[in-house]
Amino acid sequence: MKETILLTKILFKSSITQSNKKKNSIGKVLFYLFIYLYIAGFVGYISYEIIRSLMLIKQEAIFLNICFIVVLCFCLIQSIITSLNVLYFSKDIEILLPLPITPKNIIMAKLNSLILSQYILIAVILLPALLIYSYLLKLSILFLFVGIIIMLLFPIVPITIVACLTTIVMKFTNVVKNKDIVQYLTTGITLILIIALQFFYTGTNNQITNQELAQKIVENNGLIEVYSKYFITLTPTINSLLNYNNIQGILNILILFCESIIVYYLVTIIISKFYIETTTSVLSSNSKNSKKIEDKVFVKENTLISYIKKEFKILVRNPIFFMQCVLPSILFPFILLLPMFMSLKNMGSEQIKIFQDILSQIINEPIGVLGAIIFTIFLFMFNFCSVTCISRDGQNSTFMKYIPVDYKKQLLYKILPGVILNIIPISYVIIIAKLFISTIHLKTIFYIVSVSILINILNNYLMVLVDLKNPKLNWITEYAVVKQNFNIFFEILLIIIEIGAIILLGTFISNIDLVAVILIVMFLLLNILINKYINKQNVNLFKKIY
Amino acid sequence: MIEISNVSKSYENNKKIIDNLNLKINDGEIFGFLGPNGAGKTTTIKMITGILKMEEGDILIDGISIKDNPVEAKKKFGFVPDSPDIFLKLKGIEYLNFLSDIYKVSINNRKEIIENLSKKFEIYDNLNDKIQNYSHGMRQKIVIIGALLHNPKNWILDEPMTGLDPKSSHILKELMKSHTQNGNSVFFSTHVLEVAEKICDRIGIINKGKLIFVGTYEEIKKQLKEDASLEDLFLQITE
Repeated sequence: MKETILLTKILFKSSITQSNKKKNSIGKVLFYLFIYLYIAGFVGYISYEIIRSLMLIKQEAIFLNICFIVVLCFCLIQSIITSLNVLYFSKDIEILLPLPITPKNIIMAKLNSLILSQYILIAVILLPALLIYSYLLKLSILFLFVGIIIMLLFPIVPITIVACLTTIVMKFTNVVKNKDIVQYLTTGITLILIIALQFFYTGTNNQITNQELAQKIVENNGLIEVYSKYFITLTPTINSLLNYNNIQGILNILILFCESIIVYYLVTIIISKFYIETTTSVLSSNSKNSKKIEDKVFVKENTLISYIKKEFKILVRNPIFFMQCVLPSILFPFILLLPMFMSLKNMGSEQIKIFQDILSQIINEPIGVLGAIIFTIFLFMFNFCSVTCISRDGQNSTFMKYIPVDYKKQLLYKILPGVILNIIPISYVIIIAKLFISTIHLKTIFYIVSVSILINILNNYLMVLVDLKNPKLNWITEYAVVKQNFNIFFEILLIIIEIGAIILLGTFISNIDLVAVILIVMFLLLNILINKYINKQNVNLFKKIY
Repeated sequence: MIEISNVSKSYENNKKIIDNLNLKINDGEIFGFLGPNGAGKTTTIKMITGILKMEEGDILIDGISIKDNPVEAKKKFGFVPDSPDIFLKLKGIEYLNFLSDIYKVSINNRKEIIENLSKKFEIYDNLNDKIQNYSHGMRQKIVIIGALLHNPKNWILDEPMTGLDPKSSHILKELMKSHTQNGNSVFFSTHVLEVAEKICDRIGIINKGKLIFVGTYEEIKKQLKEDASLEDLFLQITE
């Protein structure tokens, strides 16, 4: 037991702190607080709307069903990804296996660390939701107290069951023994879910009244009740909250507690039966018979091409980097434009014609050109290639310093993948504009493309400088490079500032040619300045890499 | 030839990690750089290779300053870093091709060197695998091959024997010897004193950032007036 607690502490601590050697700065704390409050605020607002709608038909208790179904789905999806990584693909396995600790203790510690991490995530959903619920229904503080107990018990069963299922899959299949394949698969599943949700959302997101919303929720509640039958902990969870102030509530908490403990221990026993065998087979599955070396593998290329190819290979072959840095640039424009196309589908041909006419009238005006530029650079926000290009190399980044290639050239090579990926959103905007608005002038396209490309280059240069200023080189998992990287905040901030500047310019100058020329000259000058700065600073820029 | 003149380096709190280091590695010699953990070996190597900036002094590689003309100076050496976990997502052959492109090695030369060295180190058949699937020793071998691709005059190796099996370790030592016999230099750090004793023409011992001894094994014995192994002498001198 003592070993399990100790190991849980270490695993949990390393999962949340990762490689941060430095203490958390006030900036970082504020950033995470901002993100937390933003999401909590969003959840709170949605909860408020749903509960108020349900109150109109006196069915507010249904909100708890919805809330816990959402948390359940969240736990299940999150656990599929994390349980595989934590149980089978984490770097600590090779250290833990030789230690005199039983597999059962390792599994318990790993499950505990998964559950503890999950508490942080579900607190973002459950706390504001339950707070709003108790506020609107004027419930006593006891409700929140019961809510916190439920929050601690509820994730145990979904996490452990998913962990058990992944173990069975690992034991009896060969496909998922490769970490990279697993990460690509889980990414694919998550993306399909996001796109499906987007389809569902855009398909139903018409302006509806609170009464209609309540009606829809009540209709769906039948479905939720069906799910509750299959997921044993949902009923006692809801019942303990509905009866928080009587003996029924206490009984239901006890039922939930017993169910969670029994499932936890059963799963621990099942996983420990297979764990050593499965993990050792995963560890040994890396060695493969390689293809024979042929003459054609010796290829000579220009340094620029070779360097960029190397950058792209590392980006694409690393599932986490691919998912965080490459895929958003390709998919987000599509996901963002999907609601627009879905709305068009719902419109009649006459409405579409009116919509097209409006766009045709404004596209060659400042508002149209600037709108297209703003939309394009907004899409740049999802490209984290350059802001992580030094950090991604981790300890390998010193390589840049001992090869005989000028730092300035290497910076150019480093930003090019980001610049190339940003061509995708630029192309999306131009292709859609050309297809949808036949009256778009060639000059308008030229303005949109020129300004976007100049901003693209500038932003990528600035972001590589940000990464050089504060690189995150001592990471343990690739997740830390993007998800726990404060630098990406600067990318978002930069784009917000640029959008603000463009809007400001558009409000003062109404001549499209003048606006475009000012923007081109301004961003061209900024690019020249940044290049001069890089030339001047050169070695100093790399002083954090050693 | 590597010339280190009056080189110093401090931590942020002004504590010197390298204190006025002067050292010359001549052509035709294998120079072993020894010292306890944290003595300043890797820091010195990082300054020679341009990874770390020196605060005072200069380092010349074949007469070219790493401070003033870093790109040209870097062409003059091949470097094996202390960690071989490099670009794990690349295949062995991709890594070597990439380095050959960086150092502008012709197709014929790279083919000859890669085939020759990878066969010697017995990883030729694994070149088409990703480096992440290599063992520690295999990674060390690929990094060594990468460092020697452009046939540099000066080899700078940080703990090159780590992880190598006895056969590969022997091959590397033979390569080092034949490289210096052709009038080139090898500068390497090691904790394996037996290796240093057997193959080094001269050794340098660094402790707490200061070079406390430079010379041959015979000279250190003479200086301490003891006929002991290098291990015993090293322990005595660094205490």
